[in-house]
Amino acid sequence: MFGLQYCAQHSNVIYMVTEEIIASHRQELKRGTAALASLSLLAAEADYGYNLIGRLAEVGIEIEANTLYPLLRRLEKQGLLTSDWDTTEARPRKFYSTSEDGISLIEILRKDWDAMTTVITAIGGK
Amino acid sequence: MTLTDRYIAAAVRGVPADQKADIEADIRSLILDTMEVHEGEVEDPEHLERIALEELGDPERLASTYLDRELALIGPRYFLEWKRYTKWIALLIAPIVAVGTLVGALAAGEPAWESVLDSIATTGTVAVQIIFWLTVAFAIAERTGQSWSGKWTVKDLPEPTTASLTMKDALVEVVGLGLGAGVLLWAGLTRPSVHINEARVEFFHPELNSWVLYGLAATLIVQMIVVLIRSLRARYSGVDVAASVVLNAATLALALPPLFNHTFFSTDWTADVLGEKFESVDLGMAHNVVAAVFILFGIWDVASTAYQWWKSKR
Repeated sequence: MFGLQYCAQHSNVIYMVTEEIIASHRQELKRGTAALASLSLLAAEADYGYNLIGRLAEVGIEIEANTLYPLLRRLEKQGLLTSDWDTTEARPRKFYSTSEDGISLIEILRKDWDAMTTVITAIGGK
Repeated sequence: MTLTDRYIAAAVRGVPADQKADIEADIRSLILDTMEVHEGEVEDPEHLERIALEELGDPERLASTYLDRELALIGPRYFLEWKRYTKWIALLIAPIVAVGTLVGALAAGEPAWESVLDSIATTGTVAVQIIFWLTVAFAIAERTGQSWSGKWTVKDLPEPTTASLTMKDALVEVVGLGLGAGVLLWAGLTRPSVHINEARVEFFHPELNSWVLYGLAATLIVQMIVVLIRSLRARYSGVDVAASVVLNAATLALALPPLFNHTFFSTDWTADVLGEKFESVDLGMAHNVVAAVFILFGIWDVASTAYQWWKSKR
């Protein structure tokens, strides 16, 4: 879908929106969504790292393990997540769930997100 | 010791003690989880371990992601300050060291070319030291979060640079002035001469005091400092005009008396070196021409500095 290149002409100079440019802007736009999505998913159901990667992928958010594991630990240090070692399985696994603070943060960020959506829609553009 | 143990050891090496156990456990379960994902792809467990570890990448990078540490010696917070300080301090100190070493070596009686090599080597060493220690200081600041610079204000905007006042021009001027000062100091110290027909013939007049040459060298060194300060400010000021007047007056005061008395250049060497054919060469005339050049140059220098100052004020 993004294989094609978008062209626009301004005073005899043709600008092309290359895939590279799209990728960099998209990354900029997505920055921070991984944290919000993780908090939301872990508020619905406690989980450990790799399973959360799968759940994030299902909703279209790709994140690598070597980014997510450190992210979860940082969110825990900020008091937004709590963790428990689940020892019932073959080997112990660290299960995270969203704390009260985390849930308040989700509410705040969701409002910002909605406001942003409203603004972008209102601005419109071709 | 398994690959996993070695990986974890490498990852937590720089981690603060109070977080070590925590991060270690986290990375261990991350490795095991990653291995589990790739289970069934390969038979050999050690191969599986290798796949997982290579997927996770450089352990130190992983640890810095955990700690949210910047992977840069000097990050964006300090980079510009580091660049500015390093540039200016190196540019200010290097020429002073160069001339200082040259004069010191010449005064100690070293041959001219050895003195020049000495000066180049010492200047290089000092410049490298300055850059190194400044970089160390900024790297420490980056890690301790120490900040000594205030918020940027418009007062920090560099002065507009006129086309005639670029750093490159200033450097060329400084090098030229430094060489001139070095040659004059050398001439004063060694009183250069040539041997002709087993007679020693001096280049300068025997009555010319070496202090005249030292004095001329001193004006060039002061001029060098003036040029450096001006290029730092990137703008001509009233001080530049005053300095030009004083320095040119000093140069003329030093050079004109021996030139007018025809006791600057030795008169012997024309006859001895050039032979009888040139016996008629009038060195008195040459003295007068050089004196005229000194005066005209002095007037031109003061006038052009004043003009640049006037132009920069508009």
